[in-house]
Amino acid sequence: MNAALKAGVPLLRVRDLAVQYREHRHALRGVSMELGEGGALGICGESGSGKSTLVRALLGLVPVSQGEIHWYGRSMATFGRKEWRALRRTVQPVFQDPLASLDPRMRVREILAEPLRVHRQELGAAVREQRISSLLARVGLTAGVLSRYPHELSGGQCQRICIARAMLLEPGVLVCDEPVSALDVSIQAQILAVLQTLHRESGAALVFVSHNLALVRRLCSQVIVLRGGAVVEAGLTREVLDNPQHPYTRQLIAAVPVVPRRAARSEQ
Amino acid sequence: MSSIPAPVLELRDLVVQFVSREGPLVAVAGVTLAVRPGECVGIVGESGAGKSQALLAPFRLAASAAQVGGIAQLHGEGLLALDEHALDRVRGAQVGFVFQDPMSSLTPHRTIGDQIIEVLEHHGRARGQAARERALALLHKVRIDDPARRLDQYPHELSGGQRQRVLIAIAVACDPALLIADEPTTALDVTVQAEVLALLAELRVERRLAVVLVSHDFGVVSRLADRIFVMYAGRVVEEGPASVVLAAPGHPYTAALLACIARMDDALDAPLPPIPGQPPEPRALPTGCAFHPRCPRAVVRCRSESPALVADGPRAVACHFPLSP
Repeated sequence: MNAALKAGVPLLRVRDLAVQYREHRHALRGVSMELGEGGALGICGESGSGKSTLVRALLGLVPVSQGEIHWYGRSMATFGRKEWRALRRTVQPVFQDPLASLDPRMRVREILAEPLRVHRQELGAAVREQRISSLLARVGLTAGVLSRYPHELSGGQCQRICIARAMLLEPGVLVCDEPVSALDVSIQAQILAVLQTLHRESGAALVFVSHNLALVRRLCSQVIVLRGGAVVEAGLTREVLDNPQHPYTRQLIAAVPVVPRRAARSEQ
Repeated sequence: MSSIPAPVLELRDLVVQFVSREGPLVAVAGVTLAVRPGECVGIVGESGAGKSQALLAPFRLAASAAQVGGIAQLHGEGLLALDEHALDRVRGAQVGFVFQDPMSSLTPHRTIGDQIIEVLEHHGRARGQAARERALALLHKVRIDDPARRLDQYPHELSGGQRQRVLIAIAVACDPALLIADEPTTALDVTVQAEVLALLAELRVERRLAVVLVSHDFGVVSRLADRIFVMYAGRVVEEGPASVVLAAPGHPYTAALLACIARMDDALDAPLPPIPGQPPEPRALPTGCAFHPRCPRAVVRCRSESPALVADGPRAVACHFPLSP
């Protein structure tokens, strides 16, 4: 897939995308967007806005009824076996429910070994092992979790495992669908910090889906706002938030919980 | 005559523990709080802090193995000695409950109307056509769109926000004096979250309903609560008027929880300061102050001596070295 990458071609380009689950019922229509290499794109909207359908379409998990999705300049409609395999390696998803994303019968060691065994057999066992322990450290976990089953870990730890698993294959892009909305606020901040650091250090692009604009704002330089399956506003996050044009965007901004700021920071 | 009305719910030194092979596991280690008519008390803390256990165990809604000690009173009447039959007269009638996941709180194969009517009939408030009319009025009250049609629909035909409104309708159906809402908006989008909180606020004022709002999210609690209790590892570590606790937290844990909320107006390049580590497990509580392994200000004394909850102006803080306002 990366071999197909040409200079000046965006990593992801979506043109006039429509997804229809039933006749006359569009889950998505007329969606266009672009993401450059190493960029960060936020997709914001509430339940039923089409965010998750868009993610599934990007991953090739739902049929597209109209329009095109180009990864690295190649239309997904033209993908053969080889391209699909490359896509599965270079576009890595992280989902909302970390426990449901992990096989309950596998220990963390096996969960993390699998992607490298499948996609990077040539690396050899020692290198693969080494890569797993280095990533564990980068997502803030110790080797102690390797012998555990997912149900023995907290939600935050499971999400770190999911992120580590996604990063193991050195993906070109992480596609995160509400990755923190099932977690405590304190844990959300930890996971956001992990994503932010990995995104900066590895150069992997980020697609970050959330109903909370305050989170999108922290991670993404660009944003699209979805409502009823259509894009109502798109642009640089800073500009969209400073000067929202669509009433729905204003509504989303107003809905972000406002906690009074601490009067004085006596000690830091 | 005192101007302060008597509390609806009062907990004094409430202890909740579970028996395990390794000995008792203490989930709640002495919580004291009171909620008065028309007042909203917010309980904030991370998963496992014991906030739900403290509020649900007195009504025997925690795990059946829970042993509850201390005092829990509703309108001055002890709850802990009540038998199952007497408690059944309390739950749903004098106290309404709203939980996080509206789908699993509703019965999937019964219509919305039937589920509201069941509560009214069970507590002898209305039956037959009268109960159906009450149910319709309740759906109006919680501002569900097209309530007449919703009466005959099933839970799966409603959105998450609509289902949560149905749960609220059921919770207030018998005109309770107290509503316990345990993470009522956690499964909802921010926009729907705001609407549901506005509905709770309205019911509270109209009915002088005492509300206990349990959440891990200060953003949710700060919208409704008059008083805030912050819990950590089974204890209250800070309590006080919401305006005081939010503007000038006294406990380092409260300050840390507030600091890791993503706001719309904070600097973009400053990363959110996450609280390092994880809350302790009840079977492996740290010595001294339970928060000390995660506290940036911890010193030797914090490792050995457990701080008591001490009044400090309008609030109380359990910390050897509280933050000065």
